[in-house]
Amino acid sequence: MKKLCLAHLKYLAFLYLSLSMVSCEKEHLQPDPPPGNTTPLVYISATLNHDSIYLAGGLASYVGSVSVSDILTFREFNFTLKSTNNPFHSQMEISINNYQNEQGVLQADLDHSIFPGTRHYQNKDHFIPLAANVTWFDPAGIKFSSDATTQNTSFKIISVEDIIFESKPYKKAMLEFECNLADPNGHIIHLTEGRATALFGVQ
Amino acid sequence: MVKKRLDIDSLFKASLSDYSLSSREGDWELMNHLLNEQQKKKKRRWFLFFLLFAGILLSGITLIFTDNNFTKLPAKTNHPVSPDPAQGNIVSKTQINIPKTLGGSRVDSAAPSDTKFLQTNGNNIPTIILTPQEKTPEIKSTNPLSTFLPKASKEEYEANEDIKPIGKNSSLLASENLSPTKKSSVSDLANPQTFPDSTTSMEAMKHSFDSLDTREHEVKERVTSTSNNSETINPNSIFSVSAIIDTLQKDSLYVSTLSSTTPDSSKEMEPIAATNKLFGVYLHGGVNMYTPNTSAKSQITLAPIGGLEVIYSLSTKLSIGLAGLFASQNGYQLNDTAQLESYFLDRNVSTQTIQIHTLQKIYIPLTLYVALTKKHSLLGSLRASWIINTKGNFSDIKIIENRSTEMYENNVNGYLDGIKPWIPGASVGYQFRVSENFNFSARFTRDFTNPYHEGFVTGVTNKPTWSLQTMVTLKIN
Repeated sequence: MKKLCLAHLKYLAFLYLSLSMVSCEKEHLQPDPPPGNTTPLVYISATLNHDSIYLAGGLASYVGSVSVSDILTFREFNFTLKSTNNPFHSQMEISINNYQNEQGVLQADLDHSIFPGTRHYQNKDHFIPLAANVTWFDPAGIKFSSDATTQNTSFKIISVEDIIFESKPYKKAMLEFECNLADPNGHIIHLTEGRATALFGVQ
Repeated sequence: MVKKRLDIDSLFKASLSDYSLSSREGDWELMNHLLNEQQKKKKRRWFLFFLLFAGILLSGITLIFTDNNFTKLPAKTNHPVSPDPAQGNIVSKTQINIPKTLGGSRVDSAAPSDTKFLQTNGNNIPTIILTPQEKTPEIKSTNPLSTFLPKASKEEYEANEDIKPIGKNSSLLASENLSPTKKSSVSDLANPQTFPDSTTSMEAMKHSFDSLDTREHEVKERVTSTSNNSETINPNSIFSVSAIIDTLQKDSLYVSTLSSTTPDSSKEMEPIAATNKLFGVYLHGGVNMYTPNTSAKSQITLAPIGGLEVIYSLSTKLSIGLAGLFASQNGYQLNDTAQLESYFLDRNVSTQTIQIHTLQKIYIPLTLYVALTKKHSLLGSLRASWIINTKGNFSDIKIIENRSTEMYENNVNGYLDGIKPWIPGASVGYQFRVSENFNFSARFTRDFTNPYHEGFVTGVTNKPTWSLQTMVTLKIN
């Protein structure tokens, strides 16, 4: 009887070991997807005179960046697409002025400045709240800016969406614009069919 | 310009001594022939392997159908083979057969299960013949063994020291215990002190002797009814007496042979279970030689292997076993990489890499053992190997917004992507029986299918593999 019990004990132990091995958790090589979209999120496309450009964050070493510029009492929110390999060449920047002439709380200024609507272009003579400015560095590095010349078109913010990435808040804005860009020497580039998805933030 | 190139081509062609268009067709034929030869060699290798496997299988099947007595126990007796008692010749042993209704036992297929013999031939040597149809001797003992035990034999047994342990403790051979009403022999035989080897077997034997008591009543009735035709046994006659009590193997009873001609015959009383047990549990341990196929050179790697096997004896020469053998095989370099990317302000990349270096498998061979001799056996098996776990080194590198985070972890478990969970195979091998409970075996195994799914893992040659498993085996039950 004792031998029989021992034999049964052996079989049970074998069964337990077998089941414990079988029940091992099976893993799969499925990396956690990093946050963000599977296609480029931010981009700027436009026609400069007769040349079309398409810049996208994450493609061809182009990276988008957000910044806030405080000049005197004024403030503007900037979005830039630039090449990490060759900065200030073939680079475009879109700026939206603060909603007021003085600086407030950053996030509050951002919330009150970035919203859908039609904006004027900033001029070089005085600060215009909520106005927009477009800057283009051509492949040679020459700066062309919308505030360097007169504009007879408008800048449109089609939609604005609040998003959070890596625990930081952003405003994703879809833009449509046409404008004239001029360099310091007065050369003008006509920008048409401008479209962009830009991010604005307080970092 | 084109013309110049043609000239250069001609120059190269001319410089090649064995270049000719005419011989090109022959070369192709030769290459085709050589390729066919290689394929034939590969096919021949496979054919030889399967021929060997089929041979073992066929011999096993042949043994199954030819060895009809595989359920019969070996008759443990030192007596010479008896001539046919029906011819009136000397019968050197008396067989007491347990009726089939008491367990279906059978000692000799030639004798009916309910037949006993007692006869005297012309040389005053009695021969016991008891059949329902023939004359029944004058027997007044109720003990079937004492029925056929004359006085002279009793004295001989008592004088023999080797038999005394049985004769003294039991009434089986003692003259004073041969009375019809004495039934203490069964209890004495069942006494564990008499045979301290196995109490369980004694109980079984007791059951068997109870069955014999039932048989005694039948004999008594025959004696009563045929007392006028009884024969007289010469008490001074000397003859051999054997009592073979036998049952089916499943009952695990004793084979008992008592013989006056072999004083040591009492020592042959041994449990059937020790030698003829149908099921046996064996512990295997050994080394598995295999090729991980992780490089162009087939590097042979060793890994420990061990497990249990349950073997069922189909006959004395043939048995079949089902085993579960665990092996933790290292030496692999199975790489699998998964990469995900996303975009925000920049492209964000997450790269996970696993390099599997160890595969933990359970081999489940269904093995047919064919005993060539007592010590040498061939074996053939159909085998399935089952991947139950892997061990590898894992890395996770994330680059988000130009900031890189890296994480490494060694000996992670359970990554099975790209590895086939079940791989069938076949084995042929050899087993050497060192002792009753200790064997040595070696078996070659060939997988039938590729071990990995296409396109998943890298750093490996995805071909069916060979392995050699050498193991020592210990009988544990």
